[in-house]
Amino acid sequence: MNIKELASRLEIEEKECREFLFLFQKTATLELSNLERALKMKEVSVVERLAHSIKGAAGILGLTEIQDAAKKIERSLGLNQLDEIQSELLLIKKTLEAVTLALNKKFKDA
Amino acid sequence: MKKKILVVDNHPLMLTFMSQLLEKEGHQVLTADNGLSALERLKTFTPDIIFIDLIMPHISGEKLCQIIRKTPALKETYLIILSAIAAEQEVDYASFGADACIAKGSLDKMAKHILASLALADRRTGASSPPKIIGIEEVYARNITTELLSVKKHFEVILNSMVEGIFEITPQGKIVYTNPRAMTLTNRTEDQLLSSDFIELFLPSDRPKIKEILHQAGVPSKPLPVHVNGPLIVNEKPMDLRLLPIIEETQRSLIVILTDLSEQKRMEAQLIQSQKMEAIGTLAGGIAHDFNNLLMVIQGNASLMLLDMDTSHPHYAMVKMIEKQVQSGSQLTAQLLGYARKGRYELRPIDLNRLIIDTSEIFWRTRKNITLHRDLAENLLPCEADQSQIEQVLMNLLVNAADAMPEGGDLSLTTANVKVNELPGKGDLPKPGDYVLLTVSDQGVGMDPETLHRIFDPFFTTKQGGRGTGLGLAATYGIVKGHGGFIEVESQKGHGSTFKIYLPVSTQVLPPQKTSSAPQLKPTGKILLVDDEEVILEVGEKILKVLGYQPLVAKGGPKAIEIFKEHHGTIDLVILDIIMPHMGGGEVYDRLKEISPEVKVLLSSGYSLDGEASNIMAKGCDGFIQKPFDIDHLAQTIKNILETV
Repeated sequence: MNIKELASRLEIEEKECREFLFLFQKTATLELSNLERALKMKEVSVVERLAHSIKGAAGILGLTEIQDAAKKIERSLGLNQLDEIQSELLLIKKTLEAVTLALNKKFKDA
Repeated sequence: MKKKILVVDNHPLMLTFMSQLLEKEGHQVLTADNGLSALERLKTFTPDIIFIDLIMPHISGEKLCQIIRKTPALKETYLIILSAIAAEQEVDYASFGADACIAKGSLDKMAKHILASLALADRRTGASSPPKIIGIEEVYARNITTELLSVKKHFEVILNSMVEGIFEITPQGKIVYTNPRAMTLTNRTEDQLLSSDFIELFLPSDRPKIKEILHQAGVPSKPLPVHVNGPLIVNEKPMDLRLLPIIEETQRSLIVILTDLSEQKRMEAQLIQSQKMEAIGTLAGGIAHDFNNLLMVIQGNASLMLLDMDTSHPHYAMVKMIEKQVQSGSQLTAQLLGYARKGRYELRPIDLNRLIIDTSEIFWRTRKNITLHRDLAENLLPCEADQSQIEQVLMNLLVNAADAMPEGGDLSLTTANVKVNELPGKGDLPKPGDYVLLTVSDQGVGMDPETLHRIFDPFFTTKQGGRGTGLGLAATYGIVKGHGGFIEVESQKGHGSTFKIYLPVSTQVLPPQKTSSAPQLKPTGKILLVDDEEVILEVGEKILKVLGYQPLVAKGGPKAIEIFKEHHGTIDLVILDIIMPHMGGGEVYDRLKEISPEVKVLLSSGYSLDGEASNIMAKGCDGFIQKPFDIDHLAQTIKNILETV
């Protein structure tokens, strides 16, 4: 993931982009772990709200992979196909890791 | 121009983005991460523009807009919905008072839309432009969450139609959700309730208790459902309260279920009242029965003594006085039996109009200062009743009406055929069907609600100086209920009273009236008197002998059967007590009928056990005589039976 590119696509400064990504990463990581717990407890409405929140925030930052995965989770909930959520969760996790990595890398470089 | 802006969104990313974007433009920006904290901010901050997300914890964006629109200070504030939902489904944002709607998209696009919307707010002239959602063209496909939305709609329908009031409150006790029933129960609108303190719904005296309960239900280590059983008063009604803590990943709240107990309390009171009446009824019935047997012996002996004296006898007046007092005593026991619903002996179709004319004539002779108005339905249907008991009911009502008008006045009696369909709100629901309605109205002193509430209680009286026994209306109630009917009362202090008596219509036709009495015959015949009490047998035997009959007596059922067999074919009539140890009147009756199907039987009792007398009468028994009876009454009853072929 390239933060510089993302910043130019969003028409913001790299510093700003970094700040937003950091906020997103922090919030989404927490939301994701809560989502997994809620899924185990079959608390569908909680899973739905969290997926919706992750989807919205990812959309704002143009992180379309996460946005699409969260959208699929919402859809699976609606169709009551809870089993299909796992692969999407994995995808979100991986992308989030990439975001974290990018943030840290730049931080180290700096 | 620099603007004051409030941004309400639960995502920290959105709040940061919006703050930076708008502050860069030189505006003053405050943020709130849910509806409730937005309302807190608005107490001290009056923004020109508010950006509002739709889906948020603690009061949704939609609710928040509605509340803001009803707040006079914020009437001019420009409300912009900023939501991802708008990208997926139609949002009729104008319906909840917002001025514009922006669909959330990527930062670059959204930034442009947001800045454009600020210009829109500036140009607002009052002429409303057609609602338009900005920024949907490039965002995701719609209808993704349709299924979820329909589930939500189902829950909404359920919540909206529940008979319990439902609230959601924050751990701090602020109301963030209310269903329609909760608004009705508290008599407050949604705007008044949302963001207000839950605790303020209760009386100040109950508030410490509620505070403690909220604390119990919400203690982080052990959140527990709490059920407050003792009624709490909300909006002057007793309520039951249940609290269910909800714990989600970031959000904690309490669901409060409020149940109106008014109806339950009313039913409980009614149940206790009817159990009380039942218990007193049983007691009263037992006393009346024993009393009637005592009176029977006194009456019998007095009658026999009178036979041996003429009016010049020094004791004549005194014995007459004894007889008169026995009559009064017997009236009292009749009231008790009526109240105990233990006196329905002779059910037959009766003409209520006839009964009203006869009874009210007798009554009027004693109360000439009362003007009687009778408006009796011409085609009144017969009702199945015990004539003497209905006379008793009417007499009780007439006496009460007259007593309520000591200076005299108008008393009206009306009858009508009515059909009862369903009577909502009645505790003892009468069966739907055809009824005969008797209305007794006076223009007397009337009753206050408290008196009205107690008039059917036994021994409750408002009459001074020992004039009332407190049994008249209790008996009236018992008799009418015993007949399958019901009573309605309307009264107002100072404006008279109206009693409506409903009696079920009989399916049978009226028997023809007796036109002439049969020719007098000198009494002859053999009569077997059956009773378990020696004294009754003793006096009965003497009376029968005096009347000219040849009496036989039997103490108890087995003895009666034995004597009846011995005298087979020669006994003209059996006078049979009903309540006897070992073998009751019902069984004796059956055995006698087995031996001789033609035998004539006259029942006699202080009362019957729940229709025992009625059961025997239904089998074709020839007659019934209520103890205590005097010599003339007995003579007439026996004569009537023996003359019937």
